[in-house]
Amino acid sequence: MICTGCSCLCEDVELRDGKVMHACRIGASMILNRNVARARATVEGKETDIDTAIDRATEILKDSEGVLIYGLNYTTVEAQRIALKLAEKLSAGVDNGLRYDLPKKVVEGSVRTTTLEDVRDYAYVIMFWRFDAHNEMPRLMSRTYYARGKKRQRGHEEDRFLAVVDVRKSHTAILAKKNAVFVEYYDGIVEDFVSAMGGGLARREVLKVVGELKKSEFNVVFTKEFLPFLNDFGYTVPAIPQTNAMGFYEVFGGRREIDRFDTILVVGDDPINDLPFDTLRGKRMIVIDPKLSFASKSADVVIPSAISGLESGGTMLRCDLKEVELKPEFKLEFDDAKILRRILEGL
Amino acid sequence: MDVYRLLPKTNCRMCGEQTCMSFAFKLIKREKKLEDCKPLFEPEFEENRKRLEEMLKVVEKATETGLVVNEDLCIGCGNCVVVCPVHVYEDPEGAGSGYGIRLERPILRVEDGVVRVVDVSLCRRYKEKTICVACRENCPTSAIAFLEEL
Amino acid sequence: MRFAKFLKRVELRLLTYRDGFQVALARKDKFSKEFVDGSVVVVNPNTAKTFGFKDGQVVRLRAGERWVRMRLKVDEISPEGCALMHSGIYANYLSSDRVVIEADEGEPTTPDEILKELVT
Repeated sequence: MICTGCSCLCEDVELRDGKVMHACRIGASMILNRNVARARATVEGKETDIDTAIDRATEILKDSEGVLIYGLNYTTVEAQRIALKLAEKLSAGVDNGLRYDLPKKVVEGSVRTTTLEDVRDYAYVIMFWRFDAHNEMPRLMSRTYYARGKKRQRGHEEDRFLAVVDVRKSHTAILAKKNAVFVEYYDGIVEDFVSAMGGGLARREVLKVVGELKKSEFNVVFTKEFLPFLNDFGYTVPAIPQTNAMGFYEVFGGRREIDRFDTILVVGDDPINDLPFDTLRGKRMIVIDPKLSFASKSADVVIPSAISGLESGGTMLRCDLKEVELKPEFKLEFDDAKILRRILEGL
Repeated sequence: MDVYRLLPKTNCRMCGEQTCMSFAFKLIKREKKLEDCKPLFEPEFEENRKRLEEMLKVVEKATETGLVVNEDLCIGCGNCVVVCPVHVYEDPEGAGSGYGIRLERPILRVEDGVVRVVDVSLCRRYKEKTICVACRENCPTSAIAFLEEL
Repeated sequence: MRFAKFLKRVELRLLTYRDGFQVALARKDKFSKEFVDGSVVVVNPNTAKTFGFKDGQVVRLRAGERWVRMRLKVDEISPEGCALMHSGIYANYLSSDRVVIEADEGEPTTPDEILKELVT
């Protein structure tokens, strides 16, 4: 099966006699605990059947004066496309909760990018720029930096250089050992990099990284922010862990702002984790989620859905934009696509 | 050594060893039991004894290579599985290429989100008594540790 | 008379990060005790030493009118002078880049208690 725990979208994960093989803690938790804390269909806090919940949600949306569709990072491209139609029908705002400019640039093709397989096979310098890979996408390093590749047969200690740039000594930074450097992020580091690349002065660690970058034609940086000075020296892979956030950027391009909204349609994410409480107060909320989320506790309508990739199929985009066809182990009838389609048809 | 620090350190020799230091070593190698140290079971050493019991629980699960995994620290990143030189040699298209290990009986494998020791007989520390530290070196939380460093 | 163990109140920068263990627990059950137990504020060993904070103690974090009680963890992954926290409901509720931290007693705040603030 394909693990949908994060945007690594690992394809080697297996379920063998109830044991999850090869998936990291995040993916394994999602798979092993699929039946824990499931969302139930509710309308105004009272449990009901899913059809009633969907109908009530449709009514609320018809009735609203401004809708914000929030989330969509953990659902399939197919569901995202239906959400797009929904947004157009309702003139709704759309927000996936993230504020990065890099993904859109990568999708548009204005940033040189590459695939995880090519990173493994060819990359000399692998840089993690303000991105704690070990925690956010646990298997990313073992799939790229630590793995041996076509032109990197002798492994990470001899054939690669690791550069970790961060504001703190993260778990990822701790791994910068042999043939590696940890650069503590500071004000002016970008200017230092530009200077060093032009042959000028900079702090010692920055000079070291630039020296290594100049040694190879194939360097890669994993980052959430666009780094123009690195575009000449290597490839940029967006380090956005939300499973199908890249699908969101491909389908929607980015956020759609809306001046006022009185209703939020939440698909798969938990706005309580990201949006200011003041924004959420007094709004009607419809939550579509497989599990009990913080948002579902105060929602007007909760519609339980299938866990994408585990209980329903479709397509998702990996962090490097590779299109992955999901291979669900189980089949639940109501997935995000079906629910959104029903709502769209009812409007 | 953490084990030694928790012992009475009186070198009373009631356990049959000359020093508490050598008793500590024998404890870790499971050649002596905590019960062999009578003073440890006096009320003044109760807290130390409890902590030693905790530490030795981990040691009991250790393997002949002295490899100890603390699952509470393991995020299942698979660095250890991929970086193991034996895995790279025996499974170049699998673990060697960054994927889940394809051997039936590997040394280590990530199961249910954490790394588990499957079969140490292939490990160089056991077979060839080589000092290979690849797995531990590339674990940022020290979830994998070697016994002699406890 | 009861004295709080430490009378110090310290202002630190609040920094967030994505903690893999909390993400894994959130995929299981965001309302579980495990999730609350894992919702800690992380402080650098030097910072802990300077202000007398001990690993495992309960602290109160205050940002303006808002406060939460959390367990403190001492770890080098937190930079000096900072309070590091998983970017979830606790951090979003405090919604500040600075926080006042002091020793406290009692049980850590649960997500349900924070959610009550949303309704009021």
